[in-house]
Amino acid sequence: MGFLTQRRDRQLAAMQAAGRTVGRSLWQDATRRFLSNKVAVGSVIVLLLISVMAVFAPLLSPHTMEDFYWEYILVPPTLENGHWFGTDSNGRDMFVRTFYGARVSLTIGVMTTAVALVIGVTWGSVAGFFGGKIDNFMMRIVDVLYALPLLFFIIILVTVFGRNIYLVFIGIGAVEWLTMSRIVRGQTLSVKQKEYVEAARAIGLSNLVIVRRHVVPNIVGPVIVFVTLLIPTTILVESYLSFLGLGVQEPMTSWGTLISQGAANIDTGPWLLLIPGTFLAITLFCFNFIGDGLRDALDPEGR
Amino acid sequence: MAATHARPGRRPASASDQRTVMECRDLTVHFDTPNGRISAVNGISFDLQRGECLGIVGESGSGKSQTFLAILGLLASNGHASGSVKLHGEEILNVSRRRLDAIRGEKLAIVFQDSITGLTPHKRIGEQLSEVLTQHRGLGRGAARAKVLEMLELVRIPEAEKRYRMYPHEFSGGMRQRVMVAQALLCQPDVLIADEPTTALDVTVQAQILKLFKGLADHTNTALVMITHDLGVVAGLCDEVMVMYGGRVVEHAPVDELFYAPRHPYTRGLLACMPRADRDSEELTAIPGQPPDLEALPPGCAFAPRCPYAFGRCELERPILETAQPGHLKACHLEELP
Amino acid sequence: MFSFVSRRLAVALPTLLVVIAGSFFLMRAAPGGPFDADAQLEPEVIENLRAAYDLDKPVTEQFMLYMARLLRGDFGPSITYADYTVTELLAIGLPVSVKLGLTAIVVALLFGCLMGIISALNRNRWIDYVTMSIAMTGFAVPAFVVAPVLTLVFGLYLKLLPISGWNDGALQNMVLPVIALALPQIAILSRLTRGSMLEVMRQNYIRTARAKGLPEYKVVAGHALKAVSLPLVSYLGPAIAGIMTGSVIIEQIFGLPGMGRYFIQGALNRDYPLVMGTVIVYATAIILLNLLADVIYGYLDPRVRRE
Ligand SMILES: Nc1ncnc2c1ncn2[C@@H]1O[C@H](COP(=O)(O)OP(=O)(O)O)[C@@H](O)[C@H]1O
Ligand code: SF4
Ligand SMILES: [Mg+2]
Repeated sequence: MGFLTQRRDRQLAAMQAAGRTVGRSLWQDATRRFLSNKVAVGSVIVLLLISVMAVFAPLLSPHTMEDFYWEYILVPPTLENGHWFGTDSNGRDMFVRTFYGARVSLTIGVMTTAVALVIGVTWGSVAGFFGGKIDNFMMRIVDVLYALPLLFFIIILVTVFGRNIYLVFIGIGAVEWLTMSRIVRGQTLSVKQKEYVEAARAIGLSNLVIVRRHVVPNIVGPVIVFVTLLIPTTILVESYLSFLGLGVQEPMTSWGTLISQGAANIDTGPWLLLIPGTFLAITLFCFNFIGDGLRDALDPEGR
Repeated sequence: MAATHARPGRRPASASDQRTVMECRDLTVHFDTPNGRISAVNGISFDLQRGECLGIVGESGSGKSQTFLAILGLLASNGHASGSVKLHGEEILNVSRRRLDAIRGEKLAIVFQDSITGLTPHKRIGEQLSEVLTQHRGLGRGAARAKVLEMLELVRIPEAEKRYRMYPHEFSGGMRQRVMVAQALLCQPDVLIADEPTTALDVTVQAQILKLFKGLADHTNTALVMITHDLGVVAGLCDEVMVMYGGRVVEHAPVDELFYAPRHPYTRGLLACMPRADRDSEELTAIPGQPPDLEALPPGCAFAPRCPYAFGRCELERPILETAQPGHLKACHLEELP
Repeated sequence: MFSFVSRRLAVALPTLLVVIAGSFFLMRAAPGGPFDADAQLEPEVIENLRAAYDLDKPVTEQFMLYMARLLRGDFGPSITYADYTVTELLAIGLPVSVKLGLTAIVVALLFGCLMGIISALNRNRWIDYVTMSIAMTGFAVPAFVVAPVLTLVFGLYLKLLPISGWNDGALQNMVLPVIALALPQIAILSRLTRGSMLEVMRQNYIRTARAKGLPEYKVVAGHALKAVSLPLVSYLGPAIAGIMTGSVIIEQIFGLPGMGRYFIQGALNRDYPLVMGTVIVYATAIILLNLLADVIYGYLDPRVRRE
């Protein structure tokens, strides 16, 4: 849960900041501002590279996930026999495993974020749109959940229900929607009070049309920023679980699983930890830079 | 009386002139921003006499606040001031922080517009006020407290004893502004600068606070600078008025002359905007057009785009501030207003 | 202030109840039980064992029994560590985790605030960039990567510090776990402090304080610091939660006999009483420390106190 809560303050601030921006042409401005942010654009490129490698790297390498090379155990990174990232204690090729792990980690990051997104947006917009008692009740539930040690629940969940990757999705997603719901609710409430929405009501537009035309466009900005900050958070939680042996299970692998195996072999094969660890760190860096870049692009005055 | 005052540009005040408290010469302020340099204040000069009240009038953004923040050494970190400001003959512009600390609050005090954000929210009013005396007069707790209570009563804060222990958010806007005034007066400064002290208040409270300043101006030797965008504030209070536009003084005159015989089209425009008893509020006009862009001031008169009397010369040549008649300065190419 | 605290407590108790009920039913909702792994046991033996731990009764009745015992302060016997009660295990684990966690929090606050203030006061100079780069790194490199690297460098290469074990909390055994645990929090706290400091120094009341003729150190100490610390105090709750979850993994890596290890062991072996015991202690700690953070906040900000 630490990983879940650590970023909340920053995320919330980012959201509220991004939320101040509305309007069509502003999107073009925001795009232009984002593109002029070198660090953010660089991060996008690096992430794209990692994603492309996650898809194609196993094709580039002469080795596969299933190969065990008993004669090449714990070989350090080398250019010679195609074990560019070395091999692990079972003689498996780390290059393939690292990018296979990337595939799993990134997928989990995106999927769990999607779960959190759906729950959070639904919950927050319903609360914000209806307001009053409904809002009060729904947000009270969020408050209570906020105060709970939710990662401990995930651990219980995956240990007693079996270490299943789908459970990991659902578990993390079910925990990470809280902040999202708060942001969406706040945005919905504030949009609802704007004059143009009152005007739309007055001319008899239906709730659905109002939501589509006025509420959704206002929420999109903050949600996008939050999503870019939520993906690394969920990747981190997955790694945390996998490190404890509770997440992704062999023969599948993720960065967390690899790091865990690397930690166990830290004395004999430090690269087993350093390589996936570095990729994980770079990915987290990039998502954070992109998130910051998007926030700044969407809210230039907030700087 | 006003006619005997030293006038900038007419005769430089001599240091021996005992009545002169502050001489400001050619004060210029610019800000460096990512988009280039902003000239907020361009070559302003004026003198302040003991007990005199000088009004500074102009639209928002005309450089009123930055002029005096520069004098107090309170510009934002991207701001730079040049020129000369003398307090009792001593140069105080761009001096060391140590020297500034000795002057601020002691000889030069300021009341800011926004009393809500201007007082430290997590500190009791009493502490905030008494620390001024501790700092400048070296008073102990008890003595400072007595003096503060006295001052709070002077600015008509009821139940001063109780208020002393309260926090800013527990005060109404008007009361907070009184606290700000009390804080500024604690050391009986030579110059009190009031930067739009009534703008954030509602009309009745505005009148009360203005009465407070009026009393001050009449009964003390403190020179008062009243910054405002509202000529109405100036009318009953000030001896002289300086009208600013785009970071420059466009007219400087005794208050009566300014009201009855303005010499600058901008001043006339401001006067036309004043609500008056003999006029329907519907007739209220605002000067049409936008204040000038400080990043790109035009080569000619900054008011030209909005001036109903502008003629060929106005866009080419900047009018300088010159004497229209003794004691009355204006910066306009027109000899007489039509 | 009193009503403020009692109102918070009124929310805290139901929250705790939700935690207890949630974890209790969550564990029992899954198929299987604690004795599944012991395939060599006779079915009758398993039945007896289940009866001994009340597992043969309906779930709601088990819950009632558990709550009744809990109210008497009894966490029940552990299933995995058959000779111990959960209370005894907690008595071993809790002091370790508390010592580790508190040290980490104090270290994090100390370094985080210091780095943040230095950064803010030297805004956009090289020292600001260096500190913030360190902070950014601490942000993106998780504790479970940092910890093994630390053991590699300081334990295995330099041979300066032990790489595992508790040794009754001896200083040299504490150093690496505390660093690994505090690092992510230092990263966040320093960024938070820097931002807060910059924000506060922009406020009008800071200008007022300067206009009164106060020297800068009095302006900062007297008028800025309290406001600067407010977001830090709000972050205290999440920071504590972060340290707690972090410590689960750090205890695992460094082989420390803390609560986290018992929690993971308990969960893996479906040791119901042990998991419940650890979760209750964690939840209580989080709730109480959050309450403490609220009280400190109220003390610092008079506007909250009066509400
Ligand atoms: N820190 C700053 N950076 C850039 N421009 C500034 C800064 N502070 C003030 N200005 C500019 O200086 C001009 C004059 O401001 P000010 O003196 O506050 O106007 P006013 O007459 O309303 O008091 C404004 O147009 C403002 O844009
Ligand atoms: S100089 Fe010309 S433009 Fe400027 S105020 Fe006078 S008449 Fe108007
Ligand atoms: Mg102003």
